[in-house]
Amino acid sequence: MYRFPKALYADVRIEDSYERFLSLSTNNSLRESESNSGRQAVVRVFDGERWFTSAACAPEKVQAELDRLAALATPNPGIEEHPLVRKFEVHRARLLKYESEENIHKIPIETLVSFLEGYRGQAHTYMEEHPLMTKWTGTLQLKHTVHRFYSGKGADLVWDSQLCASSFLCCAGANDTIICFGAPTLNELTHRENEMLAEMDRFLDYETRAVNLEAGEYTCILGPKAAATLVHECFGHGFEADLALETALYHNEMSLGTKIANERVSVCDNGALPLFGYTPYDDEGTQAGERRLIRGGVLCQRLHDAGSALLLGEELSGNARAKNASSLPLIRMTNTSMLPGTDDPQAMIAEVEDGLYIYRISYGYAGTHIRLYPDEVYRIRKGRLCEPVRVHSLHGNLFEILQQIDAVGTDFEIDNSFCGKMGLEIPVSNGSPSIRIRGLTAD
Amino acid sequence: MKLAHEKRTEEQETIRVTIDNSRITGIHQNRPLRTAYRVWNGSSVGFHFQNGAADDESGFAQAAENLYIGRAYPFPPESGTHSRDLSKQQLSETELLSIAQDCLDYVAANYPCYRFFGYLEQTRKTEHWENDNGMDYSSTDCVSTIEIAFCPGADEKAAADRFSLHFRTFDRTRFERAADFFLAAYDREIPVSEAQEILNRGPVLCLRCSELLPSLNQFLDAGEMKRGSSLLSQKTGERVFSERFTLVDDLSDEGSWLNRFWDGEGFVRKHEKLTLIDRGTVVSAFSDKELAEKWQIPHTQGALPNPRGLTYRIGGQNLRIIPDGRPAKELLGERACIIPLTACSNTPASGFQSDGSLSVTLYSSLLYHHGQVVGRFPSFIETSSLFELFGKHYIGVGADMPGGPDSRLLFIG
Repeated sequence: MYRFPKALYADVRIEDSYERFLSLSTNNSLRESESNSGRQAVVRVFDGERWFTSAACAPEKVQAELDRLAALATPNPGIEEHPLVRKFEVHRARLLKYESEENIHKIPIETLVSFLEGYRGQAHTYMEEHPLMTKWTGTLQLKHTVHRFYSGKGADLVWDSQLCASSFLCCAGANDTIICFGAPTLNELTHRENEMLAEMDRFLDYETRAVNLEAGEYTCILGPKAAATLVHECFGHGFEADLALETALYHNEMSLGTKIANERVSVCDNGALPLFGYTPYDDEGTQAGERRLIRGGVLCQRLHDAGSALLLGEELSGNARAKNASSLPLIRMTNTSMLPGTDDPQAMIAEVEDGLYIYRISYGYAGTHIRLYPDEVYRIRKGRLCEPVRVHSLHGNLFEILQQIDAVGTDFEIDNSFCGKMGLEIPVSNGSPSIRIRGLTAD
Repeated sequence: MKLAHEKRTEEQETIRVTIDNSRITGIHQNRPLRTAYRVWNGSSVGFHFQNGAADDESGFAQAAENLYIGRAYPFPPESGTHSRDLSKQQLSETELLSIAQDCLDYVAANYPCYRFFGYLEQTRKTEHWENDNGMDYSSTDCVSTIEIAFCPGADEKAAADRFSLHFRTFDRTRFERAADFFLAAYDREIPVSEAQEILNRGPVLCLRCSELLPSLNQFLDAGEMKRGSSLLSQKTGERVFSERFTLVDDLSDEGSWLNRFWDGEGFVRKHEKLTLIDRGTVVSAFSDKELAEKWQIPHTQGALPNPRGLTYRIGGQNLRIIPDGRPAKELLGERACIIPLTACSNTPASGFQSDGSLSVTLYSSLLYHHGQVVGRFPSFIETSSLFELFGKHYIGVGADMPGGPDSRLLFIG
């Protein structure tokens, strides 16, 4: 154990990671296999006024770095009573879930190549039958990380995380789509070729039949995949407290206790779930759990690190997450979901006279105004799904959109993916059932 | 065949002093050590990347395991000895703290109605590539950046604007000049009606070269040009831009911060400067070894280095427009000029889109006229295209720059 400096707060985070990437294309123009590994530490010292940190240092140099940073800081005998230091939680736990045969270290490269070749074979056959599909590239990304966290207050944590993600880039002429599957273990990604082929079919059909849509305001049903992106942009990023602090929205529109959405809307973030955003303890040692961000349309909680929680006088949430041991923690969502409602997804469509069904959204931006860029959109006429339509973007005022959600389906789905806030990509999951929004502007 | 081994090391030390709400709140050091291992068996390459302390035996073994997939690469490793050290000054943590405090004191004393945020950061980087074919390359640089964000003190809802400077040797006078340039008239807001009049008269607009030029790489990829999918396909030898416009990839330029002088395949150009567009005429494009062989075209060091993997993009590491020698005052004449404080492309990929269109929202800008800043210009959107911007609208890059040499502003009007 480390000798933590006296009259200062200090913590140490060590990450030991192993990562593997494989890519194959149907014409063999791309065949790649790469592996990354690393063992690095971050040391932080706080004297009540300033933080002194050292990132990406060798684990065997942690003690020396602790001593060096302590020498730069000003000892503060009252540091334990500092409100920020008082906020830091102290837990001791050992949670190693992926030491079994499912650990990606133990999977031979032959198995991984064979996994990807299986998908490639199916794609190749499909492309022979559908010459409009011009390109397919499959990628497999696997990562296992052991996280350790120790603090001068007594925290002593060891836990591991693992992710496996397969993605398939499909091109039809100048347009493309990416079909992704993600899970903590490779076993959960096998035998999903038919799902991939169904998505390829849908994409090709969309590309060959889609017509331009007249711009205007439409009632939109977001299927679970599209709604998951909305959840990520609106509720995930929208509830990360750094946004609130930057824009001072917490003073009025987004103060806790405000009814900001339709009562059908309930949203939570939970880093304890074994999905891509699994973070049982964040990078300040805070324990994760279910954080109910919105309950029945009322704003209940925000996502915090210790600094923002202190500044806003709110509870810790376990959302201080760093990309790796080269970077410091930022406020990041984990596994964020809109909870399923009671509406029948088919009936939600049947009740729309003239509207849009959004199957997938590729990305979006959210502030007080939200803009979403959909991939596949279908027209709803007289309660039925009709022709595919091309839509550049969907947008509207965030607070109006939240109030205009008038139906929440039962068809909940989870999408394991990545979030690239400030260029620092970390794994997250987003979940949602279908939702209906009265009045999104399409252009 | 016996395996060839290549090791690429990148050692970096970054020290950042952070400024929050007009006080120094921390000092952060980051010392990533990255090592890439490549093995080559005559036809394929295997790759492993290591973060932190590396064990060569294990690194090469893992790279060799990755040969299994058969990633084709028929070109033998480069060889030769080259070395460059551009570093001039390396500041200690204490010195950086002191400089940051000095800069903060200056802006706080002279502009007391603002709150200041930002950082002073120094990065020292050494890259070293070696292989058993005799390659021994090294490149070292040490660059500091100060970024000051400022917002009116009382208004918590105000968004911060910012300016930044890079330097190899800290120059306090330069910092003060830049701070005065950006802050002295910032609180004078140009009324929307006056701004509209200026826009109607057609002011000169400045765009930051650093934000715009990297997106030109997509048009200068020799493969895309040969395949007919670049806007510059079939344009080689043709004058398609203003004859005042000359574009080069210049690795000797002093503003080439923390770059190396070789490309992602380890290839070193005979001359550090490659002219791509000469007085409006397209004269060359970027190619790597594969493109050069496939299309029988000159190999121009176009593999953009990717330290973490095998895949790389094609382009230049340091695109520069050659200034035409005239100072900004002469280029601008009597015309008013809008200088962006923050610019944001309206599309996810900044700069030009593949169809050559450009749409930029200038959220916050300064109006500059007769050699001085007049006030803050309201938000507006500018749209243009590749051929217009570097064609009939192109004025040039000034030999001197309002706001200091880091601005590297391109004038269009």
